[in-house]
Amino acid sequence: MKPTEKIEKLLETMTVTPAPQKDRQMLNAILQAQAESKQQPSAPPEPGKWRIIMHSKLTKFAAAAMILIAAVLSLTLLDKTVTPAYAIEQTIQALHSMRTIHVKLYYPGYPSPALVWAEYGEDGQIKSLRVSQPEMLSPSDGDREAVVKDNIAQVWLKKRNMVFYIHDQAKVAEVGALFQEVDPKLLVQKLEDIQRKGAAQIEIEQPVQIDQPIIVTATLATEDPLLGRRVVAVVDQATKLVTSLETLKGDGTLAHKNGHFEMNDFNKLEFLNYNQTFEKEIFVLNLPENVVVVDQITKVIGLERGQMTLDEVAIAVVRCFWDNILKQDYEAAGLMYQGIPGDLLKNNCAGTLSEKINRIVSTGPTKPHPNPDYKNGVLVPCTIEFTRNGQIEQKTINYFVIPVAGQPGRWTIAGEF
Amino acid sequence: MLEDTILIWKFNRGSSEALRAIYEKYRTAMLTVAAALCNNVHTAEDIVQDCFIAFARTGRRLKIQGSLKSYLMTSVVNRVRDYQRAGKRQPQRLNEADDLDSRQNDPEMSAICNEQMRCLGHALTRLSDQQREVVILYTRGRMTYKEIANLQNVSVPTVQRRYHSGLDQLRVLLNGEVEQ
Repeated sequence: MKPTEKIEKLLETMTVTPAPQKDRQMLNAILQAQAESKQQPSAPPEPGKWRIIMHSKLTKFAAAAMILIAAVLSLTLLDKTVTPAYAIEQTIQALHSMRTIHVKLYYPGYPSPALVWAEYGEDGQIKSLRVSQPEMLSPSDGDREAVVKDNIAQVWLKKRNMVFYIHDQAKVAEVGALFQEVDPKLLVQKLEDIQRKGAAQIEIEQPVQIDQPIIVTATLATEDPLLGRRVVAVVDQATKLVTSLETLKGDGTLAHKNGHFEMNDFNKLEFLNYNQTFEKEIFVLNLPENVVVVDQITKVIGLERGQMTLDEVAIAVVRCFWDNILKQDYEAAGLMYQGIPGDLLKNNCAGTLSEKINRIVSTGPTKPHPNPDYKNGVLVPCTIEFTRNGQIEQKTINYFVIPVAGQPGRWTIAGEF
Repeated sequence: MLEDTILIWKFNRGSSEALRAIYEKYRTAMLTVAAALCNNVHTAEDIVQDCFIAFARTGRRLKIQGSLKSYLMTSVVNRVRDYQRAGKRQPQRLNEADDLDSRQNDPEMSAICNEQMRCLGHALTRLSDQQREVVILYTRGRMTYKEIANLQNVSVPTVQRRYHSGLDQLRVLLNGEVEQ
């Protein structure tokens, strides 16, 4: 080997790699720079060579001739013009830049849609969220307004005139569960995943006119819990953002509902106000002065499970609740019941009953909730003996005992009282 | 090349995954070139980071006429030149050029250096700036003579001449170490 070849070999072995920590720092700084640049409006194009060239009279004449030729050619070739084919990936890319969204979710046969306003942070995660659900979804609670911000959920049950303050990642996620069903990023990404797996037949109608929307129809091989059996997405051709999405669950047959025939589980989503700044009031609940505040952030709720089994702690919580009612310590009883204020407990139910209550006859055994969706707790039957009009009577009440949101290891009674 | 085209396409549409992929694909080559040109690994890291940050900020405006690799390497060279012009670090001479292996004593750094590298680093500092650029960009930057010629604004034969004379000079400077 020639000496120069040896030098070349040596040069080729020269490698410098960044230290892992520095590597991470560099990558983070770079991604941060990209994220910041996305926030900034694009700079207007600088006058370039094109403008300089166009100042020439000769060029102007040549350009005019070219435009004339192009116009003639375009008349003959217009029908053969090929528009770049749309792919769902383009919508996913477009949604990467989404910073705010307002969604309307329509339920079949019900005039009021659920409304969602969402604001994303720079990391792409939800920063602020407001969900407004109609009474139909929870008749006993009435209309529900929920705001999730700074990892704290405020849930206002209008019919019960109560607002819950909850601080817990899981609970916050639960409050935002509706948003999961309407998040265009999630829905479109899921559609693309299904398409990639070949588990859906996708038809794309892309009109030649740019002002006409693209219609994507997906028929899934098997029903997806989120997308159902069939999805029709309407995509703006200019921005590639999805503007509405209809999902059909069930078998697609017609059912008689609300006085007229409708398809089973047919939902429609409208996506509005992409990247428009919302007023701050959107993420603030306009609560009435007399609203009952159930504060699960500062109060220690329920009982510590410790070494107890689930059944033992559930029974203990219910017994502790009634023991405190019998002692007329409503504040302590309220703590066993999600933190309901003692005054409310006294006035609304237990306060009047306690004067007549004789004793706790039995508590337990526990049993699962009949609704399979409620897997996170157990039912505890509690039989109370009381005197009414001189007669001794007994009544059995089923209490649903669940873990306290944001207070790991603690359990509380949940639900209406 | 096709992969780079796709990465640029995605990058222009704001994909952070594409930016990450570009970074992971080219960071080592860029860092090696930068370190060899300025003979200082710490400075090289700053330069590569600056290059990528500027690249990331181009957003949707990125238009590359040649290859992505050539674009990034050119960016490194320009920043090294700026750095040296600004006097932040004067071109090293033999007795100063000990940075390529200085990271061996730094537990947070992981530069792969050895005695031959140290000697090579010293020898590279003895070349003229143009020669050093040509030798490094051709061997470590994997740039073509034509791409280097465009960068240095000279003809291809000039670049070839600089390359061969640079290697000859290195051979003389490293006589002994290379033969071992």
